[in-house]
Amino acid sequence: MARNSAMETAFHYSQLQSHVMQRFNTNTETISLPRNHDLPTMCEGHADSQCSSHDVRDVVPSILRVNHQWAHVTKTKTPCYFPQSDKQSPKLLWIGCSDSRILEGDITVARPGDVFVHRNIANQFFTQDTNTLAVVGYAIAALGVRNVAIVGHKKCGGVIFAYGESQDGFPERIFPTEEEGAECFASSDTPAPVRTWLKPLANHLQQFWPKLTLEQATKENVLLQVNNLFGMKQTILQWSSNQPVLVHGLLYDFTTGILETLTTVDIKP
Amino acid sequence: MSLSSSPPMSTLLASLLSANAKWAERVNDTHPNFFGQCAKGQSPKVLWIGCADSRIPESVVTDAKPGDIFVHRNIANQFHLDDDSALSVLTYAINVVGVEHVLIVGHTHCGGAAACLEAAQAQASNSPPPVSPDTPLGRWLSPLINLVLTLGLEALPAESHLDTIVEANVKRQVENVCATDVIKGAWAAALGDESKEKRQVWVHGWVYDVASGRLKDLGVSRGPQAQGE
Repeated sequence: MARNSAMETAFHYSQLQSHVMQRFNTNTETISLPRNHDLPTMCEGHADSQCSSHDVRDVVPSILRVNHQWAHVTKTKTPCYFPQSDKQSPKLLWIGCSDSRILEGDITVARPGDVFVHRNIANQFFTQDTNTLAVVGYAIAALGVRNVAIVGHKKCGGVIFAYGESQDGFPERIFPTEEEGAECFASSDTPAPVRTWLKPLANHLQQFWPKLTLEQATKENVLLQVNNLFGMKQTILQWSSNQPVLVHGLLYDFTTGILETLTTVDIKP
Repeated sequence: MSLSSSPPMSTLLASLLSANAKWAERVNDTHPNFFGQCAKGQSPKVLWIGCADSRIPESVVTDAKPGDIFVHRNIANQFHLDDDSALSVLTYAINVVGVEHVLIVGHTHCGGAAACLEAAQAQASNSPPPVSPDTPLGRWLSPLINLVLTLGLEALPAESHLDTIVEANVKRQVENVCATDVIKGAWAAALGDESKEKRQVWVHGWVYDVASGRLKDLGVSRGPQAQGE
């Protein structure tokens, strides 16, 4: 499989930036995310930014209608947008959170074919999790991906839950503020499968008490997943045929749309 | 905790962060309140269970805004009943954020489905499996390989095999999701509520065509009215 050089990849992203600028040059009056056309979104007509339709029957037909319009307009305006090859060669594996406020396809200014994606509760990577391992293994071994990003985000409900659980046994608990996402902190209401899923994170955060802020916990969550990946170094190098794999720990702030780097680790022989 | 010294930022990551910054600036210029509204919390009505495939950016193909779609993506859009990851996503989606529609979204030219087709063909011809069953990918695809073996593909034209697998896979995952306690519980709550104000949860099966960008409803949707137990 041909590998793009770093220069080609950088040029590719420059082209993407130009595409972004063109895409956003619209006069849409809707509150939808600016994209390359003036079309109603699935939440057309709602004043707030979140879909608030209570007619269950409208949601699915609405998504399909918007998708068909989008596909038609995109094909017309940008004929090369849809990949014509039956193969993909993404440059990046994104391991992120399931949170609906994280639009990785927009955040990365990706075109179809650029970013391979795995999303779960609180962007976890466990070495015993077949689901994530299958994604990472396929991305690196079959698709030739050499950059993996673990992407956490502020106000993550999963991190907030684990933050609370990590304080078990301490006499005084620290509660997140409303600004930090206090509405997510109903730990007693958290369903059992979610509690089980987040137990490793809660256990990990315990070591940082008696002093740990939610912001620190959010970053430590990302670093933990990067470290878990690094711990699989030999397996990863087998998958990559001993080619280096870069693992990036990133943090996304959905109140600004900005990604920041926390760490980058080079997995190499 | 910090990891050992980091190498210089990769060119790809530098380009990514630059593109991201331009995008955020552009969105902020055209819609100054856009990101700020995300701070209010999320209440998506839709959970998208799709493939990790890079050709299906779900937010773009549905023209979604932040807050619209809760997402789980894995190899070949699977929902295994013993998978803690998918189960925790489904449970969080239904019971914490209040999702009403679960979409299982397969797609054309699915590499995972193609791998299962090859594996089934290898099994039929007593050849070595293309993906070792002892690897995470092999274990992950094992249920789908078993499904492929039941489809009677030998009676169908070869060019239709992959699409047949993709659709059968979506239908199977819809069944799996509907078999979970969380969905059964949501349906039971809706059926037991004579006022009909209780949230109704539906599970749908779709296929995305990577060449045209179009989503297709397979017409296998299930909701509380279909629950016969």
